[in-house]
Amino acid sequence: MGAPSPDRPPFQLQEVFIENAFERRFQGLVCGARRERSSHIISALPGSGKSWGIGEMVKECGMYKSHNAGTRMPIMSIVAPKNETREYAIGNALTASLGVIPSSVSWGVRRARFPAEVAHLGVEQIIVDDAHDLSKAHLLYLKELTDTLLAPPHERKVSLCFIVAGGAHTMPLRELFTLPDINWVQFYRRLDKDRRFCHVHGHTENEVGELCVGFEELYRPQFPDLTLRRWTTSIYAWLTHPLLDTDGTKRVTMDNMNTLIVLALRTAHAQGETNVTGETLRAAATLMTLDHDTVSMVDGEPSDIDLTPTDIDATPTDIDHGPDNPPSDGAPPAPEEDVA
Amino acid sequence: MSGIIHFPDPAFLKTFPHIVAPYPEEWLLGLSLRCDDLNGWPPGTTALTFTIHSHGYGALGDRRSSLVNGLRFNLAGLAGRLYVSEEAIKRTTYQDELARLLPTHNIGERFVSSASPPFRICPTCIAERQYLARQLVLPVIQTCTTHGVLLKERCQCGQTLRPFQRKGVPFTCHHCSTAWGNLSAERGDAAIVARDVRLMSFYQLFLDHGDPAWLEAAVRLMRCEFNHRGLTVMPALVGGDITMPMSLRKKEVAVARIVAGLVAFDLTPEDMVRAAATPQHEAVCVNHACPLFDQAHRGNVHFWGKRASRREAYCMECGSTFVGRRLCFSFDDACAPDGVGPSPMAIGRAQAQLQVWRERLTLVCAQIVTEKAVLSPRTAFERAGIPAQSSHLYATKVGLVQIVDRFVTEAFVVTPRGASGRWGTPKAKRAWRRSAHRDAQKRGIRLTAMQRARATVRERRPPCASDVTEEQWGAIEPLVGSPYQRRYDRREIIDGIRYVLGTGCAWKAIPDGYPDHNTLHRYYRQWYKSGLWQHIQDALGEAAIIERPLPKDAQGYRRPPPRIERRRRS
Repeated sequence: MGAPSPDRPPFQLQEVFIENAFERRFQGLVCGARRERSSHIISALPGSGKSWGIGEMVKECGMYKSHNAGTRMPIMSIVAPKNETREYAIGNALTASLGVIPSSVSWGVRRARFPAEVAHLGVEQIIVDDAHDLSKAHLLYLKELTDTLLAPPHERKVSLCFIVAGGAHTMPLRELFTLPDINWVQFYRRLDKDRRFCHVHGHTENEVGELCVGFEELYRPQFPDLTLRRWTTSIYAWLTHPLLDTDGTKRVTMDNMNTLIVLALRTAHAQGETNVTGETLRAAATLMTLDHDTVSMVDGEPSDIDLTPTDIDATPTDIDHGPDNPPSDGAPPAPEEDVA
Repeated sequence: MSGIIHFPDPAFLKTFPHIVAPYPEEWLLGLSLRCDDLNGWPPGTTALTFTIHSHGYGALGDRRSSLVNGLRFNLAGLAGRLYVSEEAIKRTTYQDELARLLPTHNIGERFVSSASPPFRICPTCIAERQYLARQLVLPVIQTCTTHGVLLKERCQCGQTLRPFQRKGVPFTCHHCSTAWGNLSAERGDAAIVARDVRLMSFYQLFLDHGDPAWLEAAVRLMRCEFNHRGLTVMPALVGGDITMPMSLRKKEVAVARIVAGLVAFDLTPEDMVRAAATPQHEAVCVNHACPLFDQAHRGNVHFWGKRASRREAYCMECGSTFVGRRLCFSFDDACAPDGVGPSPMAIGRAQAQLQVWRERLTLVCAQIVTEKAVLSPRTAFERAGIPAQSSHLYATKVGLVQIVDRFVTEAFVVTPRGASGRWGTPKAKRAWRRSAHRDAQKRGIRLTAMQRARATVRERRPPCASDVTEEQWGAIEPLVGSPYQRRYDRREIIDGIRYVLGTGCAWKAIPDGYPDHNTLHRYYRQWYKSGLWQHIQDALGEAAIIERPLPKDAQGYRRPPPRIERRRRS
């Protein structure tokens, strides 16, 4: 166990999109819905990577604004409004995804023209993230919007995907849409006939191995001797602990995987190592499972925190994230733990 | 900036849903209407959003000048929302041209002056591409320069076309919803089209190359033509009912009137260029005893007489009259040491006559004050038997009008409007207001807030170190001076602002004797935002006083803090 080298740059967290099995399943489902113009309710466990996947799909769908060619938006992605159940909240969320709207244009003015606007933009799919927060008014407006687009003169079928956080057995909107109320019956009929309610599973043990390979490639510049794939079985076993896999699906979420790897790497980096040992991984897994609710006592001499002006004033856009100047973590050193 | 924004460029969410780029020579109003039309907003939404200190659609319509000079318009903000450069947006206004052509403080007033045209459109331009040309703001123009079509200001239903409406669709009539492009396009008469072509040539000349010296040269040129042809009234323009009751003796003439006058005189742009290039031979005072003897460009020499053969000039400083270099009349003894001017006997008689007039006028004014009759310069002159001069300025120079003003201000005589309906002097008007307030107080009459505000008696305050000196005022008066009567003198406002900034006190804590703190703060805010305050400080030649900028709100604009309303608990 060596001491951290003063010349070694601080640990830098890599927040990049990693294409994994879950994303392939999830994005494949959503893209298929867009192609077929079908509507689904899609659920996945919290921390699976749903929002990441939606963001990547939106980036790659080819949205643009042009002075000459107009505006095109194939996918309209919003997050369900929270703490506001009235219709104008979802209207504001939908119009905010288009750009800046002057405050003098109220929702009442925009509402009348919004279906035509959506048709004019060439919207093919509307994705609502965190759809479990939608209220009845929100859902009814979405139904009205899609129905108006389907009717003349637009005659445009739009795919509607509700992304919810939940398990296979606890899908938030499923119970709502199966109610005998006329509104929900109409909604139920508009969902895809084959796969109305879909649950996208997390990673199996083999897929965890693929993730380990991905993380190795990602952190190789900071840890030249990094090998994670040999710990695949142990990692899978730790991350399917009942405390982390509450539904007992025996699947690993991307968030848990990322948390475990980053904790272990951070610890290894603090110890000056170029590889992660089993003990380090085990300690990180223990922190996530058995010690997940342990309170850390911060006491003793305060540690020296280097807050240079560049750390405070520099914004992410001001820092040159070139190959010779990787982005800094900026986090203070870990406090000394005193586990009672 | 390129014309395409690809997601996830941050500009995608910082721009309007649909972005438009300005056409060449397009008017800012047309650009904003096209933006509203493409985004499905009521007409005027874009203009209202980026107009500074706008108070709604109605006030926006009255402030179309902000869309011409761009001074009260957030051009940078609109450029950001449309993903175009600020220069491209600025080219939709005449801001740069007017800034070069006119003094800063008059940038919006003299161009669109009293001859400013109503809102007009070319139906053909609207039908083709919803285009409102920048030239539509130019007064006197009646046809479209591209299509030769008469500009329309009314719909077929008879209603005036309005660019801004609270409801409705852009480029349509607010009354009958007829699209502007569907209005009948009538070709203008050949004479009118030719006249407009000539007018546009002069407009282009002034806007592209002109400066204040060009305007002065144009006025001189027209004055020469006027006198040379022996005219008594200004000629009318071809094709219309456009009259020009323009006085060539005014110091400031609107650009539109200058252009119309040049065309009415059948002058060409080449004549104008030649006149601008010709050095000005301004008459100078030939009275040796005058402090401004033989000094050009001092503004003290004026001409009178309608006949070109009798081109008499008089000096405002000494009251002497002369033709060319020949001194005809003077009140000073040593006015012509070489003996070419009036004889000493004539000078003595003039001095004696002037003295008699002054004494007689003083007595008459005192009588009028005692009688509590209407006191005005004309009334006083008539009673004193003084021959009414053709020029009020001349009578002012020899000190006769000042005698009347002195009685008006010191005696606070009620001097309502005379028989002609006009105030005698500006001082008389202010004195009447002060006396009205005092009389009302004596009689126990309760004035309304407006009357009280207008009749406020400003106590004479002691001079303060922050007051601008005469020299400083001479340097900054061209920046802030106004040809109109204002409630507060601009110098008092500047003194008040400098007092607050220099002492660091709160605006409300400004002592008595200065204008109202709301007024001071409003002027300071306007001048600060428009950049005029920086010009004033540069002209004063001093380092910037510690500024007290207003806090920025969420949109990044500096606005006064919102008023907190305390609600009573029921």
